[in-house]
Amino acid sequence: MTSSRTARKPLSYLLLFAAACLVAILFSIAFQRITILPMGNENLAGGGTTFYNRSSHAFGQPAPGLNGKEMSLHTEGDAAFDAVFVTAPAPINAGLGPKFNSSSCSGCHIKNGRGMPQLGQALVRTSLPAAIGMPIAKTEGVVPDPVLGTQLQDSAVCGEQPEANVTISWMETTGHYADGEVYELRSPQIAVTAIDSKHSISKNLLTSLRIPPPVFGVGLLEAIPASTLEAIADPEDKNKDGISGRINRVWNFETKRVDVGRFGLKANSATLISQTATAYAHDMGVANPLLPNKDGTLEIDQATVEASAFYTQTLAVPARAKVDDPTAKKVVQTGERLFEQANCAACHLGAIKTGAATVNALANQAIAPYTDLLLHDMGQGLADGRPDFEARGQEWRTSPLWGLGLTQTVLPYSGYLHDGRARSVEEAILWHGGEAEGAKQAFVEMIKGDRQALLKFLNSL
Amino acid sequence: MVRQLKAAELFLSLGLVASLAVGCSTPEKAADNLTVGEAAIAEGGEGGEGGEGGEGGEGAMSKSLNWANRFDNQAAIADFTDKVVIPNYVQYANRTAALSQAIDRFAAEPSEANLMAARAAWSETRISWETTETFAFGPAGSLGFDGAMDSWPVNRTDIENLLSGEEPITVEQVAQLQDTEKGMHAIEYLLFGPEAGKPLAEFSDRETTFLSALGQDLNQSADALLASWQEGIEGQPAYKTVFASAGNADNAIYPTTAAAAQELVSGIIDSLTEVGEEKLAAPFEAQNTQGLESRFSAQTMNDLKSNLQSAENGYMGALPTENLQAQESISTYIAAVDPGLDKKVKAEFAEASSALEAVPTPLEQYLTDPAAKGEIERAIASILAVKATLENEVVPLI
Repeated sequence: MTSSRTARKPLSYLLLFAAACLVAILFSIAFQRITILPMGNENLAGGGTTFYNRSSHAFGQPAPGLNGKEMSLHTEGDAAFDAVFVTAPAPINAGLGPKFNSSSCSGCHIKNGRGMPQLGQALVRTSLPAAIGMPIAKTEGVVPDPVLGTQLQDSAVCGEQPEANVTISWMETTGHYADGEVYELRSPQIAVTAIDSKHSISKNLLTSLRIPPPVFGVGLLEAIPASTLEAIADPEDKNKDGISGRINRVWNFETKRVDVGRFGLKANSATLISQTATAYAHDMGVANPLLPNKDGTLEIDQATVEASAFYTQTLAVPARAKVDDPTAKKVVQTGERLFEQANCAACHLGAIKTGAATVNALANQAIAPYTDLLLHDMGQGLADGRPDFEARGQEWRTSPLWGLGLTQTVLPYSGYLHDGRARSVEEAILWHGGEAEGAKQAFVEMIKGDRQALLKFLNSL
Repeated sequence: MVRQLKAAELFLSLGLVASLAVGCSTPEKAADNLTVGEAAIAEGGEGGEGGEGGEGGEGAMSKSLNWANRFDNQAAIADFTDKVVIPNYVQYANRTAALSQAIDRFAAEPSEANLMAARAAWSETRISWETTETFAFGPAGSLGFDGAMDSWPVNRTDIENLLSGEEPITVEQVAQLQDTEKGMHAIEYLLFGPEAGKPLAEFSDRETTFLSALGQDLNQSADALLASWQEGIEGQPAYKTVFASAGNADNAIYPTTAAAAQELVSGIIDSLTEVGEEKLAAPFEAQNTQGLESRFSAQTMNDLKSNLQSAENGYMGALPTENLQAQESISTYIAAVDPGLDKKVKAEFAEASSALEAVPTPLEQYLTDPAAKGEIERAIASILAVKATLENEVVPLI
């Protein structure tokens, strides 16, 4: 091949590409008309990245459809996610702390599932109310506390002190269904006490207990186009259904600009890389290129951050439980109908589409995450009173419900909701308030059989 | 003509790529047509990948497993719980008690014989723990026992700082330590030294005091783990009941018997993956002994053999070290459906065991020895062979 021939090619390729694009767009439009999100198979919660496994291994499977190169990066990321950090100097995994919450990603995200509301798995976010002279930190979205910062590191390496002492106690309350059946709920009471007289606790400290959320399927959530979220959002409640839905706008450590928030319980992380880098820095005290030490030194490189993020990005979504028994199947279908009738599905969206993605398997998938990734006012009962970027004290991001029925198969005894206060899905429903008050009331007023059917449906996810 | 063909190919491939970029619904339609058991992306040809050429050529695409959801032998699950899970945790708890006592004897009287006895007790404990690998689900993870007893690597810097400090060392205080400062590997580090074979004269009083507290703490965790399965702790039901009652109408954790069997078979596959791809293959490929898990005692090979044994115990429903054998098991279930397949799995387990047995030990010494390369490669290949048979042939029957 001569050089003159290759020189002429780019133009013709360009024309060809343009023509191909046109054809593709026309096809695309035609297809969109015919196939508006048909969940052809209700069990394929994660589209083509669905993996059938209803055991404790369910949240740890690589997404089907990864090519060889992606699969090897996933495996590398799996090791990075499991890597336990230790105090420097050390031959491997040096750089823990000096203050931290856990020594590995998987130390909190055990088997990639929901954690328990106890220190070591859960952590306490902290901040101060915004005030004159106390501005919100641009990259953190809150006013950091002078002693505790934005997160209370309750552990420290040998010779160092944790930032403060924390105790969690539980307050029990009772309520009853319309049919008279009594239920019990509990909520956490956080007590933070100073480690010594030099590190006193601010009187107006805002705290928020958080359990680790499951980490599978997040690559798909990242691939939902921002335009889709804009279209679903209804910040002014223009459709007057009592449900707003707002996008959080947060700092993206990767691009160094404000972006749509998607991850975290108040959607305060923009991308998986950004989320992973902040988790390394804040949860483990491991400095990385996006959040280096004050003197610029690093404890892990960019490749490690990316591998870890890639691992979560490419975890499969578990398929819904296959219900063969016709009677049981009918109950689940009844429950699904009740879920829609009670308007749960207004926020917990059962059908959404991903757009373009760096990983081919994640692109253009029809998925059933049961979330809109938006912030909703959940009422006073669940409020932490701690604003986070644009999220208000009563707002929380709709949690995805896929894999919900496997929560305690993966991790027995783990809790639900942001702080793990709900010991069962039933309790979690009963905590809903604010924009979800109507849905909660619908549940409270159901006859027992209907409540059980709804729970059976949720357990099939 | 040739040139035109190429242009047409290019047009098609560009079209496919472009269609992905603008959101054509081809891939999702492909996915929709698959049923659950085959919830995998179809291999090759789909989604425009072919047009790009060269991509993904180094291996097949990842795919889902093809579970049949037909395993219905609840007795096999209950039997496995009674004959393998509980007795293995009992054995492990007993061995941690024996280890704690042996350490105490050594602390009281630091003789060569007592040191050897404590080291032997550590090895016995370790072997028993590693045979529980296949059923590492349930309380072991969520209640933090796995982390408290088996974190790796050891935080040597912190341990050395603790040893050079003056604070009194008690069991209560050790219980509060970070996971990487306690558990089996911290005991291993102190008992064997960083290079496997620390001389008796080098043990300080503070080290033996620390060892003593670590031994008691390990024993307490092992007892609590056993209790969580046998009786239930922290107000929770006994986990053996949860697992053994799989398929009962009120069991939300394992709604079907098949789900419990899938838990067990996934655990078997995971144990084989750990040995075949992580604990042996990764350090071997890197030619780096730092990655060998029990390198302080130079006993990583025991871990590998025990993990493999654990997988075989899961398949057979057996705990040979306690002479226990379940009446019904995954093996008997498979034998009833496809006797040839059961024979094949058993033969492959036997081959994997003998291949691992043939690798010269200590692995810490032979991992980088070219003379052992063939044996190590054979061991890895034979372990992955069992894994492949389970994934491709056993899973579709469970």
